[in-house]
Amino acid sequence: MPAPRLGLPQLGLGVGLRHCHFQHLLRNPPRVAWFEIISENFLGDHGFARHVLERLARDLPIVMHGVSLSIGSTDPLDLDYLAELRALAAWLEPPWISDHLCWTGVAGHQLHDLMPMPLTEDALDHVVERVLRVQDFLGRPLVLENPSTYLELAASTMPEWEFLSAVARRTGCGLLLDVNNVFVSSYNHGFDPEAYVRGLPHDHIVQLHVAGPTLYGSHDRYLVDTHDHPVPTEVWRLYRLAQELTGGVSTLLEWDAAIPAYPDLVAEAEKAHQVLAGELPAVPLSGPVRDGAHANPFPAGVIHDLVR
Amino acid sequence: MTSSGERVGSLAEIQDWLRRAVTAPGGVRAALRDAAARHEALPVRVPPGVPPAERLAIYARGYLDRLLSCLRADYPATRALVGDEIFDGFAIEYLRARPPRHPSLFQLGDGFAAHLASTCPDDGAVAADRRSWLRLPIDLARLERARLEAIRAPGLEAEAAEAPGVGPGALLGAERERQLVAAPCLRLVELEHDPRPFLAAVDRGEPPGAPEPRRMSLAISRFEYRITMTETAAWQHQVLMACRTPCSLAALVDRAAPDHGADRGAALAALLVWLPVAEGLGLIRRHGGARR
Repeated sequence: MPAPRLGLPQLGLGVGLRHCHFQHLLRNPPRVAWFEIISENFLGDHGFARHVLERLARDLPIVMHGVSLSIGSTDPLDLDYLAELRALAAWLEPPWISDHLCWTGVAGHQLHDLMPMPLTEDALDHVVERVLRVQDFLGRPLVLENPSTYLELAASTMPEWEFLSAVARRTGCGLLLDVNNVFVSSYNHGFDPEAYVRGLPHDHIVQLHVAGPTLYGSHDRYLVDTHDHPVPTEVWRLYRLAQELTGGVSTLLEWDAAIPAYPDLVAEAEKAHQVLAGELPAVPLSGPVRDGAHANPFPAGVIHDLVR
Repeated sequence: MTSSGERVGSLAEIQDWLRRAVTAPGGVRAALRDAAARHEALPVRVPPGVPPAERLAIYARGYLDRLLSCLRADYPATRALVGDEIFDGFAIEYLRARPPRHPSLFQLGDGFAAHLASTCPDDGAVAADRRSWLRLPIDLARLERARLEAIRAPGLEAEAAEAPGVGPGALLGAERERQLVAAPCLRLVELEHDPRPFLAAVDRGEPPGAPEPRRMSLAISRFEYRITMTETAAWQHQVLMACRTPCSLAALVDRAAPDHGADRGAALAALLVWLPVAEGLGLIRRHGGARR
């Protein structure tokens, strides 16, 4: 039986490091124990973002979380991408490197989305073989996260927690349990989210993610993993269960759209302490928020005034 | 299996089916109609509640929204110039012509300006006094891409502070044999407008004025993590082009001389004045300086 968390450290409470908080973090203490970056945002970036990362890494552990490994794809592993990832890791020295159980492109076409796997024995063999190769390449265990899914493949023969458990046992990889993703997928597919969390090998779980999803569709028919809301009560309930079953692992709040000011982000993450003390925040599920991040202040287009 | 027809069975077949369905130009429903016409069985489950087309559409929307958001973020001034509707039209056309093939979204907009140029209407499409407007979005897109690259490329911030600069004394004295080289974050563009005030206004969130047509060369670089955009004379542009590989002062004099009436002395004098300025703007450095 492996050591809890594969022997990796319990980092405590962290938040995702996002560009909009850089200036705040250069002037103020981080008030969290660790950060997680989206690895791809820093690959090939040697400018201010890398400078900020270097400054923060002096004081805090920074975990690398990727979205482009495409571990389940039938395309060959992208060795250039892996080499860049390894080089960034050699510079940053993250406690671990994570990505998702999914595929993000095929036939050379990058979808830049976490696409669902058919959960079959063939797919399991395929993923296991690739995880082993990636671990050899990186020289460390990979940590794999369960994705949110919006459809299931007809070919699937096992539930996702069984698939992930088998990958973990056969490769020795770690697991990043995103309890929000469990909740989103359970809502969309009608399975018991607690059975999912109970069904995983808890000694392989290295980290937990919490986030807020969005209700969509008439009669709130499905949930989408938007990372743009406070964490709802149901997700905190799964979080508490996961912490009980694992004995306590690193926790990270993800927030990627309509991102609040840094102090508010930290306040949201700190609700995890309240949850572990036995008090579940009362936060209902809700619908889309307006994302002003890409709002265009000149909707008509300046060139239209020229033409008139 | 939820409908009769030929089974989409292997992992590769399933993934390619999903790829085609979520990126189909006509949308998910058109893709499903095409699949039915080919007598393919749906490889997705059809549980009660949300139908397969709606489930696939979540991925299809996610694909397009993510890529559009990325291009909008990379080209805010181009978008401000042409407006949301036209910008999205350009972007969707670009994504169809050049689907993303790189794991980094930073690479997504790499060919956007070239795509705008290749699809730009002929001059005859508009009145003579408005022809430059056709090329205005291309100029802005080229400048925005160059700026983005300069923001991310290796810069000179980590150069050893004690390293001698490229002042006249150094260039004519003990350092005369030293070669000069362009900063890795230097980008050079030749434009038909000066879009810098437009870009600055968009950055500030203010209504921008229309750039006037004017042929110009710009050197875009970074100094202490701040972007510099400097108009360069023709000879300065030639000198910076030459510095893409390490160059001696004598070689740079050769490059600058034609614009100084073939007077090498005048060219040297101009270089001795300008090179320290170029260094201060983060355009060049001494070759062999320590770099991160």
